[in-house]
Amino acid sequence: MSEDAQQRKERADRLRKMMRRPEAKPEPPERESLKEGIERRMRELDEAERESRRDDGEAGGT
Amino acid sequence: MLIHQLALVSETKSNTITPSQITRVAAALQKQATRDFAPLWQVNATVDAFDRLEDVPVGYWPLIVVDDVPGAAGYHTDENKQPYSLIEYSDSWSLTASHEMLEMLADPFGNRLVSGKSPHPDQGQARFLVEVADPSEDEAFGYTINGLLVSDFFTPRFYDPVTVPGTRYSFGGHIQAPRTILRGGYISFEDSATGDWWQQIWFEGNEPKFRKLGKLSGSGSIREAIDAQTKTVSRLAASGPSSKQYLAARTLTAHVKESTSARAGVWRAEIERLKGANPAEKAFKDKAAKPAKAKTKAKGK
Repeated sequence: MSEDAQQRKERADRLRKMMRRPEAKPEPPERESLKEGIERRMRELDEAERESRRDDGEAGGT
Repeated sequence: MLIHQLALVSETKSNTITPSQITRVAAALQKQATRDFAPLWQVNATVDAFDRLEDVPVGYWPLIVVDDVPGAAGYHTDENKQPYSLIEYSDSWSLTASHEMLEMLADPFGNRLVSGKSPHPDQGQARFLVEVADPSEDEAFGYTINGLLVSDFFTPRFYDPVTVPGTRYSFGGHIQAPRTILRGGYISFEDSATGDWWQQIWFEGNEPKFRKLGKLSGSGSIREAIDAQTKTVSRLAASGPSSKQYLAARTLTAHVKESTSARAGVWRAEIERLKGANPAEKAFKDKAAKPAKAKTKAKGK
């Protein structure tokens, strides 16, 4: 296998690994990652929205 | 000028994409990049189809079609921070591929910001993440190239400070004012006063709404983080088959197939005709014969 073909194959293998497990990218353990931060914030927003709808329902939908 | 070289390749397992399909989509994307996008955004790119991921030359940025996109996030960077995009297979995967290609060309590294007035009525200045296909990403605003559905995209005028009637804010002309989203689209921006990220989205209902994402932290590009939350590639994959644009494109594709098949038949017949008798050969033989006749006459004198 030529050097060029070897490089292409190695790159293809690396891409496949990343495609299978994107969450496996290493993140510093001591702080929240970019993605984790936004996911946490989205969960908080969704939860707030659900509570708000529940409150509206209990108040008779007004 | 440096040219961006993109590779379109399939890694699907449960859905089959034939070499014919992948090359046709690559040709449509190349046309879009060269004819439509380059004059407006001053970016030169090539788009080539490859049979396998191993065939993609070093230095090319891959657009990879897969059965299912992990986390529904299209845009990614590899270990060397070089971009690659994942395209979820669907009946309208050419639309998704076009969307990813355009955004990769306008902002290869996912961190390009442009400042302007925030669309939120309570905010002042904002910094917008440059995602050229998001505000008009719905297939209703797409158009066809070679019979295949491709995505609309906004022009650099999208960030103008004022609205001027008749200005081309998006390629298809659907966006009528700067920093405006259409139904099915969205825009991501940072409130400069607070550093919080926001989105204006219009995925449902009769009007757009705002949602706050908070402050960004950690590694990775801004676009990777935004994509992970907005799940663009899955929404595009799910939305395709229901729209009039998509159905029109499918009908056009069927007609295009008929016409290209007929044309291919004509070319094959022409090749067979040339194999039998090449008119160019006859022309040379006639020219070569004339000087010999002249010499014979001279000898006879």
